[in-house]
Amino acid sequence: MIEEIGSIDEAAMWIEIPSTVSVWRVEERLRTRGLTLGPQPPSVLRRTVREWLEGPNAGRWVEGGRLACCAAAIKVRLDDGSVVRTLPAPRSAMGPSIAHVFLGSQGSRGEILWAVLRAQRLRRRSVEIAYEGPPRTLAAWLQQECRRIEPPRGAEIVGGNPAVLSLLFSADTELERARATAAADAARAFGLGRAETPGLAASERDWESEVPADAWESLLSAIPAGHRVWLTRIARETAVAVTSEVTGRHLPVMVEPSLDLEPLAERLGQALRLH
Amino acid sequence: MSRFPQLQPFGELPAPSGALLSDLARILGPDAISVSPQDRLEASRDMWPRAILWRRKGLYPPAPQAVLYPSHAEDAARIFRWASERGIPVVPVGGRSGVLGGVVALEAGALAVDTRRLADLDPPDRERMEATVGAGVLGADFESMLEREGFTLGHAPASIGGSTVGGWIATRSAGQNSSRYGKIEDMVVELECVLGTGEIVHPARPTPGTDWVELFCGSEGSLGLVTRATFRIWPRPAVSRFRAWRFPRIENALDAMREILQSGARPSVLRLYDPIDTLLSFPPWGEGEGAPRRPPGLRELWPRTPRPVPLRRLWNFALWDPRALNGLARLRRSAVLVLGHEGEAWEVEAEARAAAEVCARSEGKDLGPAPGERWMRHRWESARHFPTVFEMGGWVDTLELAIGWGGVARLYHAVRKAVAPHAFCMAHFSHAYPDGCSIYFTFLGAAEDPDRGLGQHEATWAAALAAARDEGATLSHHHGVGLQKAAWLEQELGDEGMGVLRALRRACDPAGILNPGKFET
Repeated sequence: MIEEIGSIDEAAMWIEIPSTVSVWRVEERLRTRGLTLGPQPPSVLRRTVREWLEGPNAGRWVEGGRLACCAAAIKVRLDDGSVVRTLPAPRSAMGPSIAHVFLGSQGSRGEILWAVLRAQRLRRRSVEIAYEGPPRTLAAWLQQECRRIEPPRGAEIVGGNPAVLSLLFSADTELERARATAAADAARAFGLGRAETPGLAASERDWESEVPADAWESLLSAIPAGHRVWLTRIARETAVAVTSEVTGRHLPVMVEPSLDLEPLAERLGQALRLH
Repeated sequence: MSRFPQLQPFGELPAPSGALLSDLARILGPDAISVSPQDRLEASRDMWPRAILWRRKGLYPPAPQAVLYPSHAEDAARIFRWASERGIPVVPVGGRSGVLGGVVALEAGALAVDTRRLADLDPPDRERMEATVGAGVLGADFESMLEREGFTLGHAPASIGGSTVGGWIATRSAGQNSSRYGKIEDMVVELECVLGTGEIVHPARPTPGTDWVELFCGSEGSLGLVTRATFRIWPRPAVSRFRAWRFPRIENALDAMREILQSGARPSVLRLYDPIDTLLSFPPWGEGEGAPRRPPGLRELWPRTPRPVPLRRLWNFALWDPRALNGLARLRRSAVLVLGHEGEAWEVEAEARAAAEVCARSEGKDLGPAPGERWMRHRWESARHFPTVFEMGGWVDTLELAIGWGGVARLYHAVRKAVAPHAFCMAHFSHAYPDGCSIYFTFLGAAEDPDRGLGQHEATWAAALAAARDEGATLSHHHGVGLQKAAWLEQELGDEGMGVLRALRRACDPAGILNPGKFET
């Protein structure tokens, strides 16, 4: 069944959609209007909006270098059949953000039926710069570049020592082009040597893991020589590493949930069932 | 349509029972408890303008039985477990700079938990570019420490001289550089939080699944007490530059703001003043001498000596019926946008050039750097005018709304129109994002007769919030809910959303001791 994608608010760059639509279809629709959900790992694009919002990725995207939730509003059906709808807003201080009771909850607290997703302008041009050096130095360079207001939109790593790190920047505006130039200057300041960009290589990308920034050095060091890993949805604090199943076996999985919140999560589920 | 506390005439405060005090002394030690009338009265109020008007009538919200000063999360945990067993309400209190009555207890018998001894202020973690700080640290002290270490949080609310870090988190505060660095909830990496049950939890980012930080931010002490927070920080900018633009109409300037942010630029200051706020913020008569350069503390913002009678009469004459003044205000059309760029030199230059092109395309007239530099020198002063208004026998209040870009201009005009019969109204647009913007309204009224003033104040709020609701705006951007907006929460969340909020409260605070009456209708 083809689900109808709702309206696009072009001024706010918001799109209204039923949650059963695939994220890829949303992205396709946005692209016809010059908009995008931004860089996302392949697994997100294969999922429905509901799976994306309720799953561990919890609808996250990168905005202004920060990992955030791209849902501006959601509609949720609770166990008792009642429906909760939040108000789309750029930001709000009307209490806690109750949408986050449901986002990332694996559907255990309610079923997300509908969402208003934020989008961003689609960048038409990009520039890629590649440098080689010890994994540790490359990781320091990557971390520095991600601590700017706008991090790279993507990265590709070829393992080894020296390893090669290639960063991808948007290049539609003068500011974006200046950003890429600053990154190249910083690489030279780290003592890294210019390298050819690795170029596209046919490879399965069926292994994914979120990797926090303080583990990037471990990640780069763990990639076997000649193996490739891509980073996407790069924020200051974290990125998603994507690679083949074969390469993934060599890589660490890093992000763990806070255990001290489990009793609270359990009580919240019970309280919602009594709602 | 607001929920107000049981007011009491000023008088001797009833002494708390000896049993209660001995229990508390056993839990916390006697040095961490105050029953002094002054401490109790101070803990019972914040900068809620309505409460200032009540005070003019000699009426006060209920004072707590005692003020408790935890020094660690474990202290708060012991208090909460003890209070939960006895069903004693606990109201967290920080800098008391809130403007919506968030720390005002609805009924007598509560205990105030003052966070100001949660005062850890260690140097930042340079490696991680993060800083951890106690919830009771004043914002200005936190930022000064970071400045000494070569960093900034990027958070500069007008209240920074009197507000605490915990208060920022409790209300989802926004600062003057929000367009670059975000709001406070965007800056949090980890919280230490004591639930009503006494459990100590550590919501952190990034984490798979539920982002619990989003649930504790904005919870106004009703889910738990934030005792410590870790924030992302930034190197102090190497370069900063201002430029201002005059636009023929607000709409032109809003288009320019939207275009700038959607192009990917992140100016550190992006403030649009409506025609009246432009006149008052950039007066043709110049800026005067000896302007203070530091943010005001809470004591400087509290109204003191009434102004001479003729001045008060003039103020009240003009503002009892503000329609004429609001009508005159409509004659002015042009609006000034102040842009600030900061960062490394290459970034500032490229961003400033791109923003200038956008402003010129939207019919902006370049005013150069002077208005922005002037704004920077005087940015803490608008708050200092607030006590003056009360000393003139008037009242002043502010309302911050937010909406997607498609509705911003419509919301501005709708609220102005709704409020025009009740209060003199001006606004600025100072927190903007790629998808929308906040509008910060300032309302001025007369209150020489406090009852009439209270009526005017209530009518103003009701008209403004009803208009905002009808336009589809969120009714708070960064002040929170408190008591002033509590009754409007249901308008925004609906019955079912309120049910979710109640479930969240039950999960965090099953005994319902934390800041009772807040987030309820």
